[in-house]
Amino acid sequence: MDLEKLRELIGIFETSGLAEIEIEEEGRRVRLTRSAPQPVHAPQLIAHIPSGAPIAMPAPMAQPVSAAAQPVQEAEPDVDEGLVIIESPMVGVFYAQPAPGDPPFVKPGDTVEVNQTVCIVEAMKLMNEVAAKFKCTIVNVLVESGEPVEYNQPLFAVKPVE
Amino acid sequence: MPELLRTPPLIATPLVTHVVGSRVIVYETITSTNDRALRLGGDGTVIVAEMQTAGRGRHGRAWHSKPGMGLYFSVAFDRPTEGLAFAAPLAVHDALASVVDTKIKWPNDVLIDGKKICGVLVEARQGRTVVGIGINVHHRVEDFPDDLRARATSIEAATGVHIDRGELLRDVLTQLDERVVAIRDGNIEQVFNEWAESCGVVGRRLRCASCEGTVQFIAADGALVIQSADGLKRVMLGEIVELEGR
Repeated sequence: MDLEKLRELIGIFETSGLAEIEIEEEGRRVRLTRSAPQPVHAPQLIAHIPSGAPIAMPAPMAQPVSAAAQPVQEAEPDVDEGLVIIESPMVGVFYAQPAPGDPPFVKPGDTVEVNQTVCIVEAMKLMNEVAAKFKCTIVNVLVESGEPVEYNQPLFAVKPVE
Repeated sequence: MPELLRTPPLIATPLVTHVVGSRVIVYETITSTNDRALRLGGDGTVIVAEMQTAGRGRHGRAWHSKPGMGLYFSVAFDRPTEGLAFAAPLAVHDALASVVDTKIKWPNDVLIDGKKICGVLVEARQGRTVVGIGINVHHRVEDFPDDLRARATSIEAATGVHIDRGELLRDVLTQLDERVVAIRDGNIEQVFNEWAESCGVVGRRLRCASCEGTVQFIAADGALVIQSADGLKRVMLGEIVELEGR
């Protein structure tokens, strides 16, 4: 397989939504896999709590910070112990409210109960309500309503309520 | 009593299905069949309404449901059921196959002669998934608001055929059940392929909000993969407009 073909294959793989692809041609085999699990179809709703110690809150995706422009010690100004991230369960579009013009499901400072809806992620006209898996206070909404989101992209920084 | 209940096909012949239609509840007026189905649940429960006061499409868009003219219903599934967004338009397409040749417009509108007769909205909440289906059955052109006339029609307006709504409901539920059983048996790929083929979009040039180009294939999650001037693009949602040529 020549380099051009390989490039084409990678391009197709990247856009395919497949987790793995293996092609054998003239005795040579190429296998491409993703490092992160990729949902093939809409997965169950999850509010993902990363395992381990309290984690840093990432900067919002909409405001990429140039590493060169910012000293290292200022690159993580929002670190707050005890924050947990609610991530997107799927690739889609993030909606903060049920319909345009409605108030948002949640805003910073709100305390949400277990199973309370915090947002909708839409893909293929499937409106997926994302619910909190634990009682928590919304600290920050990390995505603008109407923005596309990736699988596992941080949506909310929250503080669990005991 | 809702007119739909008076139609003989719904009462006279029981549904022969495995999951869909475990119970069928018919309302005269309801806010939204999807809302009721999401609240009520029950695997396979069907909520039908003569009229919805707050029927809706994606992200809160209003769905025009005129009483007695259309078929508005939702089916609840208590387990997460993937592939409903593909199964629902296929069920409508096949249920109408003996009457008219419909086309599925990616991802899940059903059209006759380029005009919409059916919309699908799938909503998921805490492990429960609901598929809402709205079909324009008897509407005359003048029954649609002005701004919809160029884009929407009904089965009767497009074909001149008067079909019984109860009978159509039975047929769609039966077809949907077939797909849901296939999906739960692990044959989602078969349903997906059937849907992807019915979309007839591969190889066509189209325009969407983010790009313009030729559809190379439909990805496993239903996204269109489009070869645009800037390379391959994935399109997950939004309006698409088919362009001339290939």
